[in-house]
Order: sequence, then C-alpha cells, then structure tokens
Amino acid sequence: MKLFGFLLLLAGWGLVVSALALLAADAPRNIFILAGVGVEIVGIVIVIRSHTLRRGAHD
Amino acid sequence: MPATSFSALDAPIVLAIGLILLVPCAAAGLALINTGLGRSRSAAHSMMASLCVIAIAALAYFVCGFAWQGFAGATSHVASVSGKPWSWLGAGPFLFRHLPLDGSSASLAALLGIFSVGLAALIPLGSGSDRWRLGACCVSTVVLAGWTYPLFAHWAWGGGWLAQLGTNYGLGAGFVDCGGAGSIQAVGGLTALSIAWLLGARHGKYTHDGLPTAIPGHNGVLVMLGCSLALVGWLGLNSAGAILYNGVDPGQVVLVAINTILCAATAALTAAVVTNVRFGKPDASLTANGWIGGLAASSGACAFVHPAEAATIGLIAGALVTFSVEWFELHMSVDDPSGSVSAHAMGGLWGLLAVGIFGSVPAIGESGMPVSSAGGQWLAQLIGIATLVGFVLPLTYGLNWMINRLSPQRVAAEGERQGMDLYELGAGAYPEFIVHSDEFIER
Repeated sequence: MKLFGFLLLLAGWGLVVSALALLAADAPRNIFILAGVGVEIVGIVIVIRSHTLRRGAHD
Repeated sequence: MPATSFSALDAPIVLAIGLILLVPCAAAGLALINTGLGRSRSAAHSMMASLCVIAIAALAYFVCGFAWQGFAGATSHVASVSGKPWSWLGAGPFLFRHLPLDGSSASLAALLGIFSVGLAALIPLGSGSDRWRLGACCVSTVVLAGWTYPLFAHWAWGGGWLAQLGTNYGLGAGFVDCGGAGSIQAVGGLTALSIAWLLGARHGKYTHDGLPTAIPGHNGVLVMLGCSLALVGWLGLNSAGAILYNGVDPGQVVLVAINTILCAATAALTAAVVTNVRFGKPDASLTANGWIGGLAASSGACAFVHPAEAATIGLIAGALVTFSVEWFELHMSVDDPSGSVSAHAMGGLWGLLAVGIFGSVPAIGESGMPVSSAGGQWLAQLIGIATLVGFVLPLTYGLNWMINRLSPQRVAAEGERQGMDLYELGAGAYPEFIVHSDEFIER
C-alpha cells in the first residue's frame, strides 16, 4: 500500500511536468497541473495511512 | 599566483563572503537543538554525528555534489522538451576542478553550497535522534549531499528547469527560493520524514493503545542557545542566497535581515501563545520549533516581501509548525524528537508557497527580459512544491530504504536501552548522570 502511495506521488508529479511540457494554453495547463497536485495529495494520504496502519499492526 | 588585495575586491563580493561565513552558525545551532531535544544518554552521540555529517556532506559535495548542482550559466545536461530547453543536471567537472576560487560568482556558489549542504544533512539527524546508527547516518548523508541535494539545488539555483519556468513558460520569475526554503529546508525535512518512517518510533514512545507519551528533551538551554545561533546563520544564508541566486542588490540585505528576524519572531511568539492557550503554559520546545519553522519559512520570500508580510508569513508558520508537530506525533505515528519534519519541511514548503501569495518578484518574460507582470509566480511555486513532494520525497525515501535493506539503519534494542553514547561511542556526555529506565516500563 505504501508503494502504491509513492507511485501515486510520482504519477502526480509526472502529470504536473507533462502538463507543463505538452499544453501551451494557460487554462488547460493550469487545470492539469492542479490535477497533478491533487493526485499527489491522494498519494501522500495513502503513504501516511499505510504507515499508521503498519505501526498499529506492530503494536 | 599574485595576491589579491582586499581593496581590489568589489564591495558586494566582500559582503557576500562575509554573509556566507555566517552560515556555519546555523549548522551549530541545529546541532545543539537536535542534541538538546534528544535524550541525555545520546547527547555525545548526537554531537559526534553532527560533526561527522557536516564533514561527510562537505566532502561529498566537493567530490561530485557541486558538479551536479552547477550554477547559472555553467554547462549542464539539457533536454529539449517541446522545443524548450530543460536543464536537468549540472555537467561540471568533479572535485572543483577548473573552478576559479577567487571570489567569482561560481566560487561563491560553491562556498555557500558546501556550508548549506551540511545544514540540509543535519536536519534528518533530529528525526532519527536516539536510534539512528552513526555509520548509517553517514552513508545516508553521502546520498543526500552527493545526489539528492545537488539535483534539486540545480533545478532551483543552478539554472535548472524550475528556475527556467519564467523564461520558458512565462511563469513569473520562475521558481524562487531565496535562501533555501526548498533546496535546504524542504529537502532536508522530507529526508527527515523518510528517516523517521524507516527507523520507526523510539521504544516507549507509544503505548499499546497507540497513544504517544512525552519524552522531553534533556537540555532546554542547549535548545535555546541553538535557536540564537541559528538566527545568525540564517541571516547569512538568506542574504547570501538572495544576492547569489536571485541577483538582489546588496543594499537589499537590510530588507532580507529585517524580514528574517520578523518572520522568526512572529513564528516563535505564535507558537508560545498557541501552546499557552492550549496547555496553560508556553511550551519551550514547541516555541523553539516555531522559531526554526519561522526561519525556514523566511528563506522562501525574504527578499521579495514587505516586513509586514514577512511577519504574517511567520505568524502562519508558527501556527502551522505547532499544530503539525502534534499531528505528526498523534495522528501519523511519526516519532520526530526534534520536530525536524514540522519545522523544516512544513516551514520550508509554506515559505515557498508564500512567495507566490505575498511576493513581489520582478518577472522575466519568455524573451528573457524583465516584464512588469508577475502573474504565474504562484504556479511556478506550486510546481516547485509538487516536485519536492512528488519527486524528492519518493526519491529520498527509496534511496534510504535501499540503504536500510543493505544494512539496518536502526540501532539494536540493547543500544537504545543503554543509550547511543555508551553503545556506539563507549562513553557518555554526562558520566555523572544516572540512566533512568522508566521509559521502558510497559504501559
């Protein structure tokens, strides 16, 4: 689950970089960059959640 | 080689050199804070580790770090993306070869870098306090100072693709990071988070119910002294960074210094007030974390905001750090004895965002010439933050995970019980002290 979270973080960053490189118009570029940030937020939540769950399992 | 007389150097160069030579004070401050907030039986180990980390960081940066970081205008690896040049890694020679160490802007960048990489490497020591093996933290520092830090520093400071966002895409002046809120604080803070995750919590930190218990720092005086020293270092760091990497006029050092102290002051006072309201008394360690968080936040926009805005940035940083320390400990099960993640990562990321919200940065148009509109600066800052969280965090976690697989980074349980001083060094910092074992009683 933690690996999935980190992959989502990388995917979100990839979305941000791709939007920057491929989209010339301001509006779609900004929307895709914000979408990439959104994916990163989901990724970091999953990484945090998996760490908390793992700690609970150790207890 | 003919000697250069002092008067022959330009005044801005002399000023920059003087400011850069203040930066080691910040490292000394962080070392004292990390030691003071740790246990007494690991105090000598903490200071020893700080020295080793600074030494290794300087060597790794000398060998390959600066070559990969580069500086604006130097040779670099460039990829062409949709017709735009993206500089992604410095391509200079290793070991400072062909670098004129004579006060040129390249040599000043190298001087600032060799000190600030040590500062970044000290940040994870705080989160791994009391349980991180000396050898493991040295290996981790090689990776941080030799690869992770130079890579991001190139992108932000060395003319890399983040710095080019203004000229390539018209996003304000590109990613702005005056004194290292991203390159030093956030990179170090996110590495600290990775280390805290990989090492796990100290024995006795959490009860069987998962509730955190307080393990107070052993010496508040060291912590407060460290905060004072850190201010001196940060004044140099922010001012020198603004001159070298943002082309700020040397006269603006006054503004940078005032903004730095105002940011730290409001952050510390906010932390003191918040803890006083919540717990009935101001908390010294959280106030110290607020101070450092304010300094970290000040590094983002210190040259491009009005003093009132700097005070506001500090106020928000103080509240953010205070609440995030509790949030990390209580809800994320992250045992971070020095509050490194909150103060440096959260403070640094907030400082970068604050550039986009409050900053008045002279923008650069796609022609490369300054333009009046600074629109898009917030987006450039957001892209920088997204890169730190979405790329640097997985990178630093992955690299440290591999080190941990090769050789466990956490000390054996016996070492933690005995104390890092006796277990790894054979002698304690305070031999007349008695080791209290109540933290190991099952709760």
